[in-house]
Amino acid sequence: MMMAMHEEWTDKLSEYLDDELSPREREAVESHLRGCAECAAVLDDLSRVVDRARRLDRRPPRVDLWDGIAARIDARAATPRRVSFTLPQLAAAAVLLIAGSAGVAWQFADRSAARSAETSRSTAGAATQTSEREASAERNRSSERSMGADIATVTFADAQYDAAVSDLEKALQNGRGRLDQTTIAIVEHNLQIIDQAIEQARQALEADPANDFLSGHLVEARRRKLDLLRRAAALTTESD
Amino acid sequence: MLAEIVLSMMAMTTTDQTVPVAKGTKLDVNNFAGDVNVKVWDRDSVRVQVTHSDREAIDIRQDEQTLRIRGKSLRGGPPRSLDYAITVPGWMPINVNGTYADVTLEGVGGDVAIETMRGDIKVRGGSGFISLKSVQGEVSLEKAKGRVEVRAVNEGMHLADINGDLSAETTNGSIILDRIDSGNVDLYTVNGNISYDGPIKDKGMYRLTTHNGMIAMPVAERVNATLTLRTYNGSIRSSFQLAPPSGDDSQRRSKRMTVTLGSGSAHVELESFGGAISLRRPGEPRPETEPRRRSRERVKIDMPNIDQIVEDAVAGAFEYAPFPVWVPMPNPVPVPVPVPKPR
Repeated sequence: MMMAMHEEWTDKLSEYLDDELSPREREAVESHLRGCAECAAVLDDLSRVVDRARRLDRRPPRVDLWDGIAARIDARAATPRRVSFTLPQLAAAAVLLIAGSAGVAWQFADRSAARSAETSRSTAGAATQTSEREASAERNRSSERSMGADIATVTFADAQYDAAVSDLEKALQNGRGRLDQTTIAIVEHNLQIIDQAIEQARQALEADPANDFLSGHLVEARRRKLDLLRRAAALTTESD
Repeated sequence: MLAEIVLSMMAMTTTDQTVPVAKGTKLDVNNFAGDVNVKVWDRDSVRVQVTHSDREAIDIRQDEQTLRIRGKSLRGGPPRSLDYAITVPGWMPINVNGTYADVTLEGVGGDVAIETMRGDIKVRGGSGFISLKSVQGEVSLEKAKGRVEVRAVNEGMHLADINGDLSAETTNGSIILDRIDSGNVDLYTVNGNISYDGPIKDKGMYRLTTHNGMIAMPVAERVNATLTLRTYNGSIRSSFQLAPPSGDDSQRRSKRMTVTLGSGSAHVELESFGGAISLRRPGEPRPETEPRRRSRERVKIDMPNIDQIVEDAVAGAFEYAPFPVWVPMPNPVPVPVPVPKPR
C-alpha cells in the first residue's frame, strides 16, 4: 500500500518542479510533502540536480555535429517512438552533453579525416586496408585546417560530471534503506566494475593522450556510470 | 518450519477470472514477487489464474485502453509472492512490472515492456516495440520483430531470431545473439563477450563495444561494409584473409584497422578495450558461445568466473583463426579482477 502511495507522489514530483501541475494537484502535492519526509527528501534531491543543471555553462560544440546527428535521426526515423525524460535524466543529459562533446568532436574529426583519406585512395570494389596511423596524421592536419587547431583532448577532471555523479551517489546513499542488501551489493559491484573500466581507460589515455579510441571509450564508460547511478537511484524510490 | 506452519494456517483460494477485451486493449501487470507466465489463445479475452491466501486479493480492473492486474495485501504492505498464469489474445500489448518477479511470455504478438529488479525475463514473440529490463536476472528474447531494447545490469542476455532495430546493453554479462536480421545494431557491455550472428546489410550500422571481453562477428565473402576494428589491450583475429599482406606493420602496432569490403556502404564498428576482436565466415564455429553454455550447465551450483570465460573464449577463438593478423604483447594496463557476483 505504501509502495503504491509513494509511487503516485514521486511520479508527480518532476511535474511539480516543472510547474506543470494544475493548482489542485499542486496543492495536493504540497499537502503530501508536509507530512511525508521521504518524498520531501526526494524532492530536495531532484531540486539540487535540476539547479545544478540550470547553472551549467553553455558551451557550443567545437565542430558542427548536426550532420552526424541528422544522419542518425534519419536512420531511426523508420520506427518513430515517443521519448520522455524525467528531470534527473535531463540534468544528467545536460552534464553529459558537455562531458561528451569533446569526445564526440574527436570521434567525428577522426572519422571524417579517415574517410577523406580513404576516399583519396579510391579502392571501391576491392578489399582495401587503411592505416589509421596515417589517417591520424591526416586527421591532425585536417583538423588544424578546419578548426584552427582548436580541439583539445577530453578533460577528465570535469567538475560538473563529478558533481552530477556525487549528487546521484548521495541520492542512492539516502535511499539505501529502501533496497535490500543483495540489491545494494549488486549495484555496488557493478559500479565497481564500471569504475575499474573508467580507471583503466583513464590510465591508458594518460599514456596515449592522442588516442581518440580511448577518449571515446572513456566518455562512454563515464556515461554508463551515470546511467547506472540514475537507474539505481530510481530503484530506491520505486521500492518504497 | 515456521513458514510451513503459518502457511498451513492460512486458507488458500484460487482466483480464476476471464475478462473480455476489445482490440487495442493493453495488459498491465504489477507483481511485487513471484512468477508472471503469459501465454496466448485465439479468444478476445484475458484469463487470470492465481492461487493466493485469503490475506491477499487480486484486483483486475479494466478501462477503455488497459486491463490492470494487481495483487494486494488485505493487511497492508506488499502482497506475498504470487504466481500468475495469464492467457491473452495474440495481438495484445503487454506491460509487466515487478520487483522480485520472473517473467515468461510465450508466443505474444504485440508490444512488450517488462521491467523487473531481480528476476529472469524470457520472451518468445513480440512485435512493434519490445523493451526488456532487469537489474539481476538473465534476459532471453526469441522470435521478435520491430524495435528491440534490452537492458540488464548484472547478467548476460541471449537474443535470437530478431528482425528489426536492436539495442542491448549490460554491465556485467555477455551478449549472445543468434540469427539476427537487422540493419541497425548497438550493443554494449563493460565486462563480457559479444557474439553476433547475422548478415551485414547494405547501409546498415553495427556498433559492438565491450571493455573487458571479446567481440566475434561473421563477415560474409560478398559484403558491402566498412569495418572499423579497434582494441587497446587485445588483438584482432580473422578466420579468413582479411586484407592483402602488407609490408607496413603500422596497423599491427596501433591495434586498429579499417577495412573496406565491396562498396563499404554498411558501417561496422567493433571496439574492445581489453579483449580480442574475432571475425569469421558465416556458419563457422562460435567458440565464444561455448563458455556460456557450460556456465549455464553449472548455473545455480557455482557462479561463473568471468575472467575464465573470457580466457576460454579467446583461446577458443584462436583455435579457429588460422590467419592471425597480429598477436600483441599486452600493454602495462591492469586487468580487472572480478569480484564474485552477489546473488
